[in-house]
Formats: sequence, C-alpha cells, structure tokens
Amino acid sequence: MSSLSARAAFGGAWSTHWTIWAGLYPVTLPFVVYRDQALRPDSVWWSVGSATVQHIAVGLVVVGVGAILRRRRSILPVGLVATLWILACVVRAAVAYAVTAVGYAERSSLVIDTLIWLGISALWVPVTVFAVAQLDQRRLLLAARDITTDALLTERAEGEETSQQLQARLLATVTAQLTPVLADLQASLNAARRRITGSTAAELSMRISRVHDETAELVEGEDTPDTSPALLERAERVTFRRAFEITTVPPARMAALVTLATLVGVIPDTVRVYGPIVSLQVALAVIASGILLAALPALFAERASRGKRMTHLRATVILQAVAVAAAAVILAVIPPSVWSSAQWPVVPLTLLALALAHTLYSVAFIVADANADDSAALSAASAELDAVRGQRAERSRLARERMAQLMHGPIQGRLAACVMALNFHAEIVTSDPARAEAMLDAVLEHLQGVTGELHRLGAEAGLGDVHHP
Amino acid sequence: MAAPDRPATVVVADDDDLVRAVLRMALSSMSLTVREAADSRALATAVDDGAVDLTILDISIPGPGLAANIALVRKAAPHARILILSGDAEVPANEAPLIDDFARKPIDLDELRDRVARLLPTIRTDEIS
Repeated sequence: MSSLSARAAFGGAWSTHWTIWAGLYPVTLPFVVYRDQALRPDSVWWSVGSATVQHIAVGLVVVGVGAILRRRRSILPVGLVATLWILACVVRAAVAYAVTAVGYAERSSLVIDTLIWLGISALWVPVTVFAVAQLDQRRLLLAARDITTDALLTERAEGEETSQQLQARLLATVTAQLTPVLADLQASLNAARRRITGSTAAELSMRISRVHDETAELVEGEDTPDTSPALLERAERVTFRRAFEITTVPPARMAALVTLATLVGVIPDTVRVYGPIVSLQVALAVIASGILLAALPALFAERASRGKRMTHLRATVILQAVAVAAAAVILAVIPPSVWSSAQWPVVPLTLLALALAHTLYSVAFIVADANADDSAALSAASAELDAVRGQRAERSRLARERMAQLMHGPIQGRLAACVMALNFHAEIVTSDPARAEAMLDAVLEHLQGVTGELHRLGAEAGLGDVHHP
Repeated sequence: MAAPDRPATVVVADDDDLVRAVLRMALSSMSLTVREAADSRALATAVDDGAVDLTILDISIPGPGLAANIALVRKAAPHARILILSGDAEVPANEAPLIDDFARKPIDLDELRDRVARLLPTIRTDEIS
C-alpha cells in the first residue's frame, strides 16, 4: 500500500462522493446568503432556497453523473473529474440566475457568477477531495502498518526457533499423531487376525494408507503464515483520532494558499455587497493572518527542536485561533470598523472562510506528508517481513528435508509396504490362507517396527518417552 | 519388442522385505519370473545375465544411488524397461528421462499389474489374473 498520489486522489471515489457533496452544503449556504444581499431577495429564505436548489443541481452533476461514469471504471481520468466540477459551477450559476428572476429585486450575472464559482471551486474543491482522500488512505495505511508490524514481531519471535528446534517440533507432531493410531491399528489387526476377511484387510489397509498420507502431509506440508496482501485486504480503518496523531506542525508553505482561498472565497462577493473599502479591510485582515500562519510554524519547529513536540491537531487549533483572532482584531481596529456597522456579516464570513481554508489545507498538507512517511515505513516493514519469512521458510524447508529423510524408509516405506501387503492379503485370504496368515505376521512386525522407529527418533530429538494411549 | 523365448523376467529391487514379497507374489500370478534384490549389489547380480525384461526399482535402495542403479540395469540389460516405485512424489529431474514409468508407493496391486502389462506387451492379457 503506497501513499496516495494527487492523480489517484482526484480520480478516485471521493472526487464525486455524496458525503463530500453533502458536507459542502452547510459551507456554501452562508456564502450564497451573503452574496445574495447584493441582489436584494424578498426574504432571506429565498437565498436559503436558492442555495439548496443550487446544491441539489450540483449534486446531480457531480454525484449523479459521477456514479454513472464509475459504472465502467472506478478511477476516472482527472480531466473528466475537472470537467464535472467546471460543469457544476456553470450549473450552479445558471440555477442562481433562474431563481433570482422570481423572488429577487435584481438578477444575478450568469457570467460573473460562473467565474466566481470557478475561482472558489478551483481553490476549495480539489483540496477538500485531496484532504478527505488522504485521510481515508491514512486510516487504511495505519491499519496495514499495524498488521505488518504485528506480523513482523511474531515472525521475529518465531524466527528465533532454530532448524533443530523446528525439526524436533515437527517430529513431536508426527509422533504425537502417529503413535496412538499405530497402536490402535495393531490392536485391531491382532484382534481380527483369526477371522480376518478380505474386506477387513482392505479396511485396515485403507486406515494405514491414511496414516501414510497424513505422515507425508505432516512432513512435507508448509507452515508459512498468511501472506501480507491477504492480511492487508482484511485491514479495517483506524479511528480518526489515531489518524490525526501526527506530530508535525502545519507547514509555512501552505499559508499562501490559505490566504488565497480565503480571499477568493470572500472578496468578490464583498466587493459586490459592501464595496471596495470593506473589501480592502477584509483583504488586509486576511493577508495579515496569512503572514502569521507563515511565521508561527517556525516557533513550533524551534519548540519541537527542544523536545517539546505537539500533535498536528493542537498545532492546527493554536495556529488557527491566532490567525482568526488576528483577522478579527484587524477588522475591528481599521477604521471604519465593520463590527458595529451594517456590514458586520462580512466578519463571521471572513473568519469562517479563514478557519475552513486553514483546516482543509492543513489536513491536506500534513496528512499527505505523514502518509508518505508511513508508506515508506510500511514498505520497509513489509520488506523486512518478507526477508524474515524467507529465512524462516528456508529453515523450515531444510528441517522438513531432514525429516523426510528420517521418515522416508523407516516410517513411510514400512507403512506403504503394510498397505500393499494387506491389499494382497485381501486377494489371497480364501485361496491361500497360510500365505495370508504369514502376510499378516509380516504386517504386524512392520507396524511394530514403525512404532519402535518413532520412539527412537523421538528419543534422539530429545522428546522424551512417547506414551501409548 | 520381440517376444523372448522364455517367461518374461522382472527384477524387484527394494530394501523392504515385505514389499519384495508382496510384489513377487503379485507378479508371479502373471506368469512372470521374479528376481529380488535388496540393494545395489544384489541388483547387479540379478540383472547380470541380461535376461531381464523389466526392473521395478525403489529410488532409495542401499547403494550408490538411483542414477548408478539405472546405469547398471541399462548396461546389463539394454532392452529392459524400468519402473520406479517410490514413496517420493516424483522422480529426480535428472533421472526422469532415463526410466519408462513411475508409480508412488503404496500402489494398488491391480494398478501395478496394469502398468507391468503395458511395459511388457508380450504378456497375454489372459495371464493377468
């Protein structure tokens, strides 16, 4: 499992996923209500209704058409996804235009609205999709890493077993399984020998044949564990809390994008609603916050260098609080203050845009970086796991080869001879009973020889006495 | 293969007495002459006169090894067929092209007789009991 590329993130399921579409509704709603002030709707409910209808139309384009396209291929070309997003902007502007013809004093501009939505979408939609896709990938990646690490620890522990110990373990297994069966077979053969028929001999022959085959399976069988891909497919996503346990602070390089996204989200509509002076105030406040977002990570880094690391979540909350507070203060102190005027709605909207942009870009940057690190760590762990498993498989192969040599003639060969002898006994028991009787004696002798050989091998391997049932 | 003017002769080379005894009795019912060998030295003696039509050879009889045993049979009886009967799952790759048939122990005796009959086509089917 590798880290997620931008192409995979944008072409993947999240780019047209209904949850992202639904999640963006409460975000776009206040922006539509805010911009509609310039068009003087009959009531604010017209704006709410317009925002809702616009969002439904966007959903039909992005989610609906996306679902149809994904019937043929799960990963869409990035160009196709971008086309859907662009189409959604046009549809949104067209729906807004149509709604303003009914309950508004002024009609919106189809062209300007389309351009504004295109600008907003360009800076907000891809980063949202990328952040969500990276977060989802992270939850799977960490689960895969947990599984691989656990498997590696297990393999390392089992890897300490020497070839001789493995051989002794195999021998113990074979002995434990064969000894009681052999004793039972000998008892059955002894009990039946005076009245043994062809069918009894054939049945005993089949039982010995099964013992022979089971012995071969025990000796030749594989004991390698599940391979990693199969395990990883069963991996369940880790919790969001776990996914955010990242000790890197948001990087300074994202401050410019946060600033730009906030400006594009707020300024065009503010110009239309409140004019250039308020827009300039907002722009100054946002840019100042952006400068803080660029500067503060250096302080965190210096703090981290002194061993005081903080989680990504805490760093994001602190940075965001400082940036939002700074923007609020600047909007309050630059005359004329918009706080106490009729233009006050620009304040919460700006702060909301700033916080949202910072959250999205922070998650996208940090999680993507963390995923790249964890993906590399997973690859290293997987490679080590493969190596350890390879060494163990080689030790196992050698031990099984030695076991096979030990078992081949004295155990398996004798069992095979018994099977063939009992088959022959079944053929001649009526026509040549004396020879059949001699054959049974030879079979019993062979079975006793097998039991004795098992005890000898067990004693050599230091297994102690193997008890008869 | 031209029919020899003597009963077909089979050498059973296996280090297990019981296997040899069972095979001898099973093959005798096909009117075959059966010679036994418990190791490579006995095998050499059994095939020495060259009057051998089939050798049923266990892979791991005591001696210099399978390849040497096959060479020994081929040298003494170039026309003899070789059937390997072994507990192993397969014949070593190097020796596989040198033999005529392979079967894994334990083998069903009827199946063994069928294989022998195929390898010795001069045996009349009514001789197979």
